[in-house]
Amino acid sequence: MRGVGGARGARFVGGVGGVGGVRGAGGVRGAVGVVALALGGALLTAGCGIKPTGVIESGQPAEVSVAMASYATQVYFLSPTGGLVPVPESGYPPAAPSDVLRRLLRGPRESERAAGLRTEVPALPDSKESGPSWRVEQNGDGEMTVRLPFPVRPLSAGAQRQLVCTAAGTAGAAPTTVEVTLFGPDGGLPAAHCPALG
Amino acid sequence: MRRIRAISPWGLRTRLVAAFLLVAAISAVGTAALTYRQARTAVLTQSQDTAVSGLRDQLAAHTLQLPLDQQQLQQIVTELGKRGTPHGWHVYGEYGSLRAGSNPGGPPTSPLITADMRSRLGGVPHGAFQRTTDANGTPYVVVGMPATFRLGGVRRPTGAVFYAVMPLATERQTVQLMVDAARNGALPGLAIALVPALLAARSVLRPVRNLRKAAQRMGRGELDTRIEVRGADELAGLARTFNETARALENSVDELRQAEARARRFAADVSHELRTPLTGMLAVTEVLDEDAERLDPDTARALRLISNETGKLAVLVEDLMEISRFDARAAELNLDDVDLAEAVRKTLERRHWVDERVVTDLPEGVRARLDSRRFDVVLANLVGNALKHGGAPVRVSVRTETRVGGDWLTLRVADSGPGIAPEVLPHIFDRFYKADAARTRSAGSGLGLAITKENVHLHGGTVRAAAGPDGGAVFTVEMPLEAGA
Repeated sequence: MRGVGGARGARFVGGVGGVGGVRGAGGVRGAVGVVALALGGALLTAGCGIKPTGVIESGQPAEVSVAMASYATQVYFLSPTGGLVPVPESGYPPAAPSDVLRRLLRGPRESERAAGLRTEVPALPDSKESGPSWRVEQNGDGEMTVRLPFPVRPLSAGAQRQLVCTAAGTAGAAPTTVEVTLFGPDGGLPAAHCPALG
Repeated sequence: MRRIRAISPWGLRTRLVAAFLLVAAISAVGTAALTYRQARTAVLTQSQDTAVSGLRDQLAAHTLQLPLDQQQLQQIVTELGKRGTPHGWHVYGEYGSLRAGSNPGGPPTSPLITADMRSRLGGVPHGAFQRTTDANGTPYVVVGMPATFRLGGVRRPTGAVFYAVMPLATERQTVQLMVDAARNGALPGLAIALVPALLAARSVLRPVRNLRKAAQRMGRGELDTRIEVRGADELAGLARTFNETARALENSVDELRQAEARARRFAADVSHELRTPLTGMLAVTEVLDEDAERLDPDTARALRLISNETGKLAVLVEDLMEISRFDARAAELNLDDVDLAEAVRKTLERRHWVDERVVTDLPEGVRARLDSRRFDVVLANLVGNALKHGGAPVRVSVRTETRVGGDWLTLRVADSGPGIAPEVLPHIFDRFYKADAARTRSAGSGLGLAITKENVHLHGGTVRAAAGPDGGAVFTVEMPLEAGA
């Protein structure tokens, strides 16, 4: 009778759903329980509280209004971290493209320097400022050629971006669509776009 | 029985309840964890999204004068700081090397704005947020929002970036409340799960217990035991099978009993039917015995042989009838108060065993309560058997001793014969058992020792045979001094 009872018990537990086993498998059963408890505990403790995250992008940037004349062009300086910062040039009558470039070469004004803006485009001696070698040519296909009275090859990447973006801004069209080629006495640089920023 | 009833650590009940609780715990913890995670994500997402869109919308209402100066930056930051979301925030502005914070007199920047955040917002203009904790472990969300403007239909960065630092204290409280709720909900849930677990265990254990009790009753011989079949599950099937088996067993046992009873009744009937003609034959042979001397020697010898055999037949029939009464459980004790020594002596005298062949060792003045006729049969059979198959002298001794539950008497009959072969001992009290196969015709009926055993049993005692220490056979009868007490 006892033997029969034991056999029944074993079969029955097998039918419960594999949770346990025959009497001898008590260890396996205990292990399953421990694993389940550990899993639950881990779920509870690891998932509790507010965890720090990395930087997560979330939607568009803010779009502010900037007080400037509709005909104004932008001169691009560099922030301390190397980003391009536009400064509107709203003088009237609107400056010619070469004048805007001269303005860039003169570097940031007092107020702009106070905000930490800087330039990497080398300043020119006064003699070269108004030479005949300044020429900005623009064809209808959104290509622009800028001839400068100083060597362009030694220019830093930041200086090149400053020149390209400032020149592209004078084209009247969207600055990012204009392809700008910089030429100096030492030859030309590959054509470049003002970097698209959204 | 008691061992099975005790709650064993891996008994059916324990295992069922454990399995139930395990399932309940897994589902409770799993549900709570998933719900909690979902709810926490929802709470945080809402706060973060509100902060991001809030900063974006409020920044959009401002007009910037480029390049920004410290005064303008501070003005915008202060303005934004005042319009914090319900929880309040601190706003920090960065433009070039300019820094401004909305907290009056506070630092113009916050350590919670990470370098990673600054570099990510430097190039590509989009809103961003980061959850972080301060030195005290308080969670914050830092929202970064670059200010851009439209230029020729294209978005250009102004170079100014604004940061809102918002504590997640309320959210943390909400999250903690959810954790507490999940924990406080799971434990009572488990306690409640114990109830169906115990009910389920009981529904399984009750039929098992009934089955065990029924099997025990069957073992005690109550073959009419049946189990109430309830439901249609496997246990009910088992109970049904048990009932069918019990019914079949009962039928078989009934048939066997009836067959046995028929056989015994037949033996009783036969011996009874034989007795009447035998009585007549005995009377006739007695008369013939007396006349034998006057007949010729051959006829006389034949007559004596018939007379002798008829006498044996009468003894056999009497013994058969006696044993039939035992089989039919019709034998009863007629208890008398007797003096043991007196009873033994009377038996020996009645059989004329008073010479040196029988030596007695009897305690004087011991009184016993027993059936004197049956005691006489027991003693006569044992002594007769000893004289017949053993050898003189036969020693008869009676002893009394005190045991738990009363005094007992021990009657020992030892002979001086060759003893009993060990292989014969277990069968010595069987009916018609002949120790010596060659001696097929003994003086006795072959039932003497069987009747002795039945008589001793009737008194509640035992009888056994063994080899004596000095050879010979020893028959020992042990029975209560007060039979039937």
